[in-house]
Amino acid sequence: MEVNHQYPPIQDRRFSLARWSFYLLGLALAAGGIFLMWDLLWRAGFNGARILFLFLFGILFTILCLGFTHALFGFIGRRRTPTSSRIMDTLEPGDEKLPLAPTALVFPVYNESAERVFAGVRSVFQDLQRTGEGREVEIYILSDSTNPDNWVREEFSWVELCRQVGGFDRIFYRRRAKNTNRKSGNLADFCQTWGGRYTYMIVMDADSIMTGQAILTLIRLMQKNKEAGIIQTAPRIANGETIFARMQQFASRAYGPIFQAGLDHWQASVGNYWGHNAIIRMEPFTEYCDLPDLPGKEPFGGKILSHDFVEAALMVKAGWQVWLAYDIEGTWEEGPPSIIDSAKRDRRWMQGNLQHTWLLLARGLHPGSRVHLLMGILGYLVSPLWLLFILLSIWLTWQDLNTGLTKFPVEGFVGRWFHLDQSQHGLLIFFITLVLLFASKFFSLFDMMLQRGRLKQFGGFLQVTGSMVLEVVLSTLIAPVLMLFHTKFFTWMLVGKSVTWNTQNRVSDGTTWAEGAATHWFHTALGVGLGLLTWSISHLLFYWMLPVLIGMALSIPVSVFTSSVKWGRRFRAAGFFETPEENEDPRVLHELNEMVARPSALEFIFAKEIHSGLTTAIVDPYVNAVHVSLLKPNAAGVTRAPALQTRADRLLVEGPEKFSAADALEILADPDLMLNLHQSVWTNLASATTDWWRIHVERYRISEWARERELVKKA
Amino acid sequence: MEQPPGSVTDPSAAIAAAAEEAQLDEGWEEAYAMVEGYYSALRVRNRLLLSRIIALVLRRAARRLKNEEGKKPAELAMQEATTVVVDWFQRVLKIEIPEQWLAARGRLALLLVDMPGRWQRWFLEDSGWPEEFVTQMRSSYLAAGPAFQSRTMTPQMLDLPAVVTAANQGWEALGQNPWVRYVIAFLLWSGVAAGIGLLLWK
Repeated sequence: MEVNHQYPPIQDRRFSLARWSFYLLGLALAAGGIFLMWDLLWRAGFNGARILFLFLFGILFTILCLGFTHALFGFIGRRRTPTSSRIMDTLEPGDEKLPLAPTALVFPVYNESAERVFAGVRSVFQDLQRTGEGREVEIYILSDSTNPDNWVREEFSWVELCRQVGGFDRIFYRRRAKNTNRKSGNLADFCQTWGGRYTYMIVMDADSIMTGQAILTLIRLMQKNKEAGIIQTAPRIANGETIFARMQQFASRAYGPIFQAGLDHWQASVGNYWGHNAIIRMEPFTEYCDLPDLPGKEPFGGKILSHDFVEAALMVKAGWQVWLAYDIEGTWEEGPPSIIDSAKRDRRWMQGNLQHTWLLLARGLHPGSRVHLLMGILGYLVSPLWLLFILLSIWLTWQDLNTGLTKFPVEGFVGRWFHLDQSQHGLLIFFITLVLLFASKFFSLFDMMLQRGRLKQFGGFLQVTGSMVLEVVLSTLIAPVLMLFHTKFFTWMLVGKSVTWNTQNRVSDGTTWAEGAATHWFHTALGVGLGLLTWSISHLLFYWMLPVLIGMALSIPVSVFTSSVKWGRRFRAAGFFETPEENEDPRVLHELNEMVARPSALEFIFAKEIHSGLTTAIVDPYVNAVHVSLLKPNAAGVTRAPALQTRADRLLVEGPEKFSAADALEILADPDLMLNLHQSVWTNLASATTDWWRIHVERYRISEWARERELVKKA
Repeated sequence: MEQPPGSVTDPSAAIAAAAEEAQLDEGWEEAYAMVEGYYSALRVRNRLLLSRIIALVLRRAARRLKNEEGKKPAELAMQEATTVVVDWFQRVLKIEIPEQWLAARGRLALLLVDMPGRWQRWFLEDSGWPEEFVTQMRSSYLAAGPAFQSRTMTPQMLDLPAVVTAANQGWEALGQNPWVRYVIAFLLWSGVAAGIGLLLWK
């Protein structure tokens, strides 16, 4: 396929105007704030520390102003319908009959709970079935799981799902033995193997959910917009139960729409890709978006961790459009349940985003793509800068109080024009900062009020305003802790520590006090220490710093409290952080939650002890059959490594308790060995010297199945 | 040919016959439990059918024991339990593959056609299988995906300016000795800590 232009042509001039107006306003506001701060510092006399202070203020204030312009332009944009910058507006009446095209719906999986993953796949598939369309859509679960238990559970869950929904010809499962290049490698492997079969690929996360209608709309948008390479949806966060998760999903639901509309306003066809809940045109993706390695080694170089931003930049560079369809409904993901889980995820994302530093100056990228990369970098770099800004503020206050110089030697522009003394001048900057900071909350509230029925989706006016106030309080407490986390991660990166690929936790059993204390003791100590320091310098400084200090000092109880499911439910009962999903309970989410809550058949089939996957794949006749049927047969004439055979013999004699995950994986990967083990366990049980296998065989006696039947009936 | 379990109309007679051939000792008790476990694992949930199958298997094992003295009844019973099933797979599936793979293919087919739910009546039955059952059994296999239709992906080259390359080389040079990085980070944050300490001291 040939694309003859360098940059997207559709109304590019208009978009350029939109971009310029957006950035001019943002930068003008930032310049005004920086001027006020410069004038304030100039009144007290410049020195090295103040220049650094102004520099840090400039960066932080500019980011704040750009956040404000996103909210402002988004708020205005949402009042204008239709707008030519909205990809959804390209669909006209009658387009719902546009023919579909072969599409792969792919779920990359990495050691997530098989029950949850397949419940999600099932609810999406069933919702797609209900549309009466979508025969062109085929689903792939692309596993990179390295945990042997997850591997075996995924295989059996897939077979069970296909059996129950009749999906053997529509739902497929593939696992990679080696997860080269992590998620991006997983997708690339899929594209190289089956990519030729599909025109589009809809990429999901392990926890992504989409309605059948949203899937069909995405395909039709691609059919209608032949120059679109990627269309990203704005997934709403759902299914949170803890205070932290519910606060996040409320914030994303309440404030998200105006920010997303603001983002769409300036980026238009030079959008970004967030890695999931997006549709991709196969041909340009395979041609232009295979990721290169960055120069050097991890953490800053090597394999690109946050592949999505780079893939979008490469797609745009090749002349294809990337859109944000922020107003498509029926697209969800789940968020981390606690501060600690959020920090773990941020560490991975931070390294991925900071890697993009090398790409900022790469030749040929669209300026819009560079802005996306820069925003991603600043999103994390802002934390160490903020910490430095706070420490510098303390330093400057101390310096002012200890130099013995006259306090107001110069009148300054603001003093001369507006007759404000230095304190009033400082308060003016503080007031402007607060306005810019909280304007988005008011825009969001007005946005809800102006849209009929939207307030009710959140429980009503009182619930929304109460939730917003509570969200501000909790965010204020949590922000300094995240700042310290990010600063620590940044320091680790500087000393060359790279992240490992961890599974994202999306369910919570709550942060314990011990875990909270072990994780946050330093934050608490720092908060108390800085409190003592600021108090000793100036009581006024202490009060100014109080919101930050309280967040640090109370980080342990805040972390424990916000991770609580019990309190999350109480908050919900009290009407705090309600979201449209909670109040309207969309069918696809309802079905998912019902399935997750139901006792899983896997719990009866799989052993409970260590190495449940290996044990069950050896003992259970069906799990064993499914497992070996999905393995690549051993090459003819190749003899098994003696060490592996010895390990297998040991397994029969001792059971797997002393085996490592790597041992289990090696045994599970050999189909002939797995068949031998199954046969041996059952036929040699009488002479077995360990009780391990006997116990697991006994599980199958009739009483167990009677119990299962009873529970399944109840479910 | 052993009489298949489906055609044994009186399970108590079958069990009595098996018990007669076997001695009522602990060895046979264990054999019974293991055979019951094996067929339970195959989700044979109909107790009547299960009893018939166990009786059949124990009878075969008891006969073998007469010629294979010294072996445990449970060992022989389990061998018979798997043999009975594999023989039946051979008759139903009519494919020539190694025995263990035949057993796996047969078990997979049982799962996919939902033998425990739909076709339990015909499990280990010698003949008279419904056509639909046979067709489904013979066509049941797993495909991890449709036929491959590949695409080629070639990593895109990054055109980085000289300044980035130089910065990267500088960073890499630092990385040659990780201690240098630790020292830089230590100096950075100890400078901040020293500043705070100085303020506290004052």
